[in-house]
Formats: sequence, C-alpha cells, structure tokens
Amino acid sequence: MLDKKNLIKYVFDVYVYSILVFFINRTSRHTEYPVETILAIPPWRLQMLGTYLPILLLVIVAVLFGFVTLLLSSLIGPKKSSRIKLAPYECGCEPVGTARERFSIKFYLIAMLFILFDIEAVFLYPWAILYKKLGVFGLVEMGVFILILFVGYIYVWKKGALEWD
Amino acid sequence: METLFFLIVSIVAIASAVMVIACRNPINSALSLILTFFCLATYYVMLDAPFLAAVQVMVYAGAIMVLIVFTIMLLNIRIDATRRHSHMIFFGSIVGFATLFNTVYIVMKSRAATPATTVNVEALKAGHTELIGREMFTNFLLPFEITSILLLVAIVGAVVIAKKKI
Amino acid sequence: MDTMILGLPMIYYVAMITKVLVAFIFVLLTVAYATYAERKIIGHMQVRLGPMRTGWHGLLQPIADGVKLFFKEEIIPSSSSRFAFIIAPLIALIPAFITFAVIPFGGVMEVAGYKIPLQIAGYYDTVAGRIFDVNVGMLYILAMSSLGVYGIVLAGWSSNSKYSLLGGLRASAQMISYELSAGLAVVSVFMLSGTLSLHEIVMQQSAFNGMNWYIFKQPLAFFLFFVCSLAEINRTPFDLPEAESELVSGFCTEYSSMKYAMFFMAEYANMVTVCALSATLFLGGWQGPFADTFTILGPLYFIAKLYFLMFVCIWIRATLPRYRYDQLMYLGWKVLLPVSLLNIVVTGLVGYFISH
Repeated sequence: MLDKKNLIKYVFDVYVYSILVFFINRTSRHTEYPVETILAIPPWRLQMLGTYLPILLLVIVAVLFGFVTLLLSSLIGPKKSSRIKLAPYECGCEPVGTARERFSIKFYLIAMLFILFDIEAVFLYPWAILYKKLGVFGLVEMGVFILILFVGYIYVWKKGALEWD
Repeated sequence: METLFFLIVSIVAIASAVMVIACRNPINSALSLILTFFCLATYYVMLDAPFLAAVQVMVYAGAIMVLIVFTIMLLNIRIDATRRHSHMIFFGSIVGFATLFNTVYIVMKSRAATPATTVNVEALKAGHTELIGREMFTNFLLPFEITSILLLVAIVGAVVIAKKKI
Repeated sequence: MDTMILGLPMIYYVAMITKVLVAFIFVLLTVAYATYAERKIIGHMQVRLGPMRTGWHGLLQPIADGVKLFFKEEIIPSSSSRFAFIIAPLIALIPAFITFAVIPFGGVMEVAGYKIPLQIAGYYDTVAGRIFDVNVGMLYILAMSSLGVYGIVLAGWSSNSKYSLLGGLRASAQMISYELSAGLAVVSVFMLSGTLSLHEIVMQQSAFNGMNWYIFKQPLAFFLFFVCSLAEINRTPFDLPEAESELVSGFCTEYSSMKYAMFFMAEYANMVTVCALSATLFLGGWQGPFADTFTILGPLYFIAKLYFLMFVCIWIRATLPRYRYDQLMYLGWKVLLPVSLLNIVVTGLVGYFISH
C-alpha cells in the first residue's frame, strides 16, 4: 500500500524523469543536409509502391492462407470430444498439478543477454556497410566498442551464467 | 491513397495499444504490444526509414518482447493480484500525461509540424542505413561509445540479479 | 497496358501479383515435397525404400498426408488458453512464409518492353535506369525470423501441458541464442559488400566461373551462418525442442489436425528461406554461366543451389545424432558467438591491410 517510503520513491522517479526529458529537449538538434534536386532519383512514393506494396500483398496472401486453412480444417474435421480427450497429455495418466510451474531463471538470463548482444549486432550493421569508407578510424571505433562488450562477455562466462547443469 | 493506408494503420495501432491495457490476460496484452510495435515499424517505413523499421521489429518485437513474455510466464501472475497497487495508477497517469504533453510540445515546436516541400536527396542517394551510420560514427561518436559501456553495465546487472548466490 | 496507376504502369501490378502468387505456390510445393524428399532420401541412406504405395514411388504421399490431416479432429485442450492456442500456429506460419519476399531469384525479365526484376520486393525504375529493392533486405529477413519464436513459445505456454511448456521454453532459448550468432555471422559479408540490399549483394558476386562468390572469401562465415540457421529453425542435429523420444514432440504435443501441420509447414518454409538466403549471400544467388544472357537460366541456377542446400540439410539429419541441451547451449554461447565476433574483427583487420 501507499506508505511514506514508496511515496518518496515515486515522487523521485517523476522528478528524475522530468529532468531527463528537459535535457533531452535541450540537447536534441537537427543536422542540416544539403537539399538539391536531381531527377535521377525516383520519387519516394514510387519506391514505396515498388518495393513495399509486394510485401504487403505477400503478407495478405500468407494471412489469408493461414486463416482459410484453419477454418477449413475446423469445418471438415469430426468433433467427438470427451472430457478425457481434452485433458492435457501426460503419458496416459491423470495430469498431476498444473503445468504453469515457475521455471528456471536461466531462460530469463538467456533472454536478457540476447537483448544486449542483439543491440550490439544492430550497431554492427551500419558500421559494416560503411566499413570501407570509414577506414582505420572506423576500425578503431568499432574495436573499442567490441572490446568493451567482450569484457562483459568474459564476465558472464567467468560468473558461470552460461553453464547449464 | 497514403492517407487511407495511414488511417488503417493508425486505427490498428490505437486499437492494439488500448488492448494492451484493457486485456485481462497479460500474455494477450503482450501480443497486442507486439502488434503495436509492428504498426510503429509500418510508420517508419512510410517515413522512408526502413532501417529503423527493421531495428524496431528486431529489437523491440523480437528481443525485448521475448523477455517480457518470459517474465510473464515466469511470474505466472494471477489475475486477482493486479487489483492491488491502485495508487500506481495515479503516478502512472502523471508520467503518462507528462509524456503526452511533452510529445505534443515537441511535435508542435519542431519542423515536423511544417510539411517538407523538398525531398532530402542525399538520404535517398546514400540510403537510410548509411546515413545513420555516418552520423553515428562521426558526429555522435561519444554517445555511441557510451552505449557500449551502458550495455556492459546492463550485462553485469543482469548476471548479478539472476545469480545472487555467486 | 499503358495505363498508369499511381505513377507505375499497369504491367507492374500484373507482374507483382504474378510474382507473389508464383513464389508462394513454389514455396508451398517445395515445402510439401521436402517432406517427401526427406523421407525418401533418409530411407535410401538407411537402405530402405521410403514411401512407395501412394502413386509412382510414393509421389502422391505429401498430398495424401495433407488431405488426411484436413480430416482429422481438432482438439483444443480444456485447460488451455484458447486464444493463444489457436493463434500460435498462425504466428509461426506467417513470418515463415513472408521472409522470402526480398530474396532475388533471377535476373531482369523483359515483358512487352517493360523490365521486371525477378524478385518480389523490387521494381525497375525507367527514369533512374536501375533496379530498386528493399535496401535493408537482410535486416527484413532477420526481423521476420525473430518473430518465429513467438509461435513456439505461445504454443508451449498455451497448451498448459508440461511437455509443451518445457519444449517451448527450450525451443525459444535455443532460437534466440542461435539467432544472435547467425546475425553476427553475416556482418562480415556486409563488410565486403557495403550494402544490405540482397540484389546488390548478388550482383557483386557475378563472375563467369563463380570465383566471386562470398563463400570463397568468407568460408567461416558461411559455415557459422549455416550451422546457426539450422539451430534457429530447429533442424537436426539441433531438433531437441521437438525431441520425440524425450518430450513427445515438445511444443506441439497438444496440437492436432491442420494446426499441427502448420508448425511443420513453418519449419520447412523456414528451411527453404534459410537455404535460399545462404545461396544468395554466399553462393552467388541466381548467378551462373550465361545467366545474364538467358534470363530463364537465373531461376534455374537459383533453384538448383536451393535444392542442393536442402539436400545437405536432409543429409545432415541422416548422419548426425541429436545434441544434448547443455552441449547445445555451450556450442551456441561459448563457441559460435565468440568465433563469429572474432571473424568480424579478423575480416576488418585483413580488409584494412589488403587495401593498404
């Protein structure tokens, strides 16, 4: 319930949040690019239509296919259900307890580490396609970035978070 | 045509966002949130930012939501447990309205309020990904390197929380 | 045919619908006959005959299987979460069937004076005089394949059965672990290509004798990507989420009828996508001798490479035993992840010294 300690915590959270928002507003700036007019680049809308409309169509086809298949099979198939038949499978015995048990924290940790390394990968893609243009400068930058994360990786390894026992 | 498409996507986005807080079952809320992220990705594509759209789906829908779904399954929340903590609604709505106000303020003030009349040619020529990369590795080098330290902190934090014993 | 709709000629829309339908049906048929080929090839490798009864040498087997599954009873367990249980196979199936949209399967075809690139998400711009496709093509595939995990985790959770939950959890942890290494393995290809557009990547690998294929420059990346992809789509030797002997089919224990078939279709469609992607990134895609002059050769080369890689997948299944779960996680996190990071660093350094 709402006690004094919690209240202070929430007020503090709102305070920190508003300060953050203030600074983000202050520091965000626009970078200007030279705007020129060259006709060799097709208009934005054509690119949109030419490349993303087919994907949209494919998505619609796939969704329709999925729903129609589900609908057809539920219409055609026989329906002779009984209480025993609808019980979850447990080697033919009566199910014991609930299946929604709490499971190992391992899976949670794997998901957490996946997010962090996935974000690293996301940073690597723009770097990879610019790699030739950035030269030695880009190499050092990314070297530092990977090195710092590699320290984290070694920490995870040494702590035994990757062991499955 | 674009307006019509935008309207359809917006309706889906808002409906799924409402579903996130209206659903009783937390897993269904998580599914609605994934749909909302998808609509956001569609907006990014419409704004000619395909790289951001892909990253949105990859990181938010593909990675962070996996963690949230895992957490929901791990905690196995009973529905009656959500009745308590009603005072959180008060503070939650303060933060929510502050964010809304802030967003409206930024949109009204920035250049986004005035429609662009010229096409950003360099963006089209170089491609969105390359442009982001060039900005990130030159003008925003320090934030980029700090990100790696932030990620390192997060890695350490995740391990410490998960493995208290060691 | 000269009418313009929203700035593009009518023929573009006709071509678009044709490409989408042809590719969709091609993938469906490949999925159906991959099951047949798998049973037949493994059968012959184990000195058996495989399916023989339905049609000539069992050629009608996939159709018989499909029809049979349509007529089976649908069982939704009484203790399951109904909505998630029904939606899970769809979530598994749909991303699997939309990933191949950005993969180019041929050169440029000319119909009635209008050039059509043989790639679903691409068009030929007459003013700029070149092909435009999704310029983050590879990221599109990674993003879509990262959604496949929900189908499995939901299937496992919503069934409310112990086997399903364990299978679903194992599968999702395995998929996200290997997705990471697969995503890192392809970075070194982009360092060479300088683009994420798959059309451009294929064009860079064009050479008469195939010596420009990225597999020769990045053999380790190809190996890493192929292994990680096999694990990500739960193929043998990494098929423990559905380990028949331990988890009674894992996350699909409670599924029956077409819902069960949809998980299988998703798995095989993912296999098609992974093999097509490996062929595109590393084996030159549709490129081959005379493919530029005779457009029809492009799709044929592409299909040949695709089927060869799918044969390799089946071959691996017939050869290797299943991993244990701790070995699997060890391999993913302690071998493949650091090696793929190392590969990026080495590629960077070597590339720098070669260019200077």
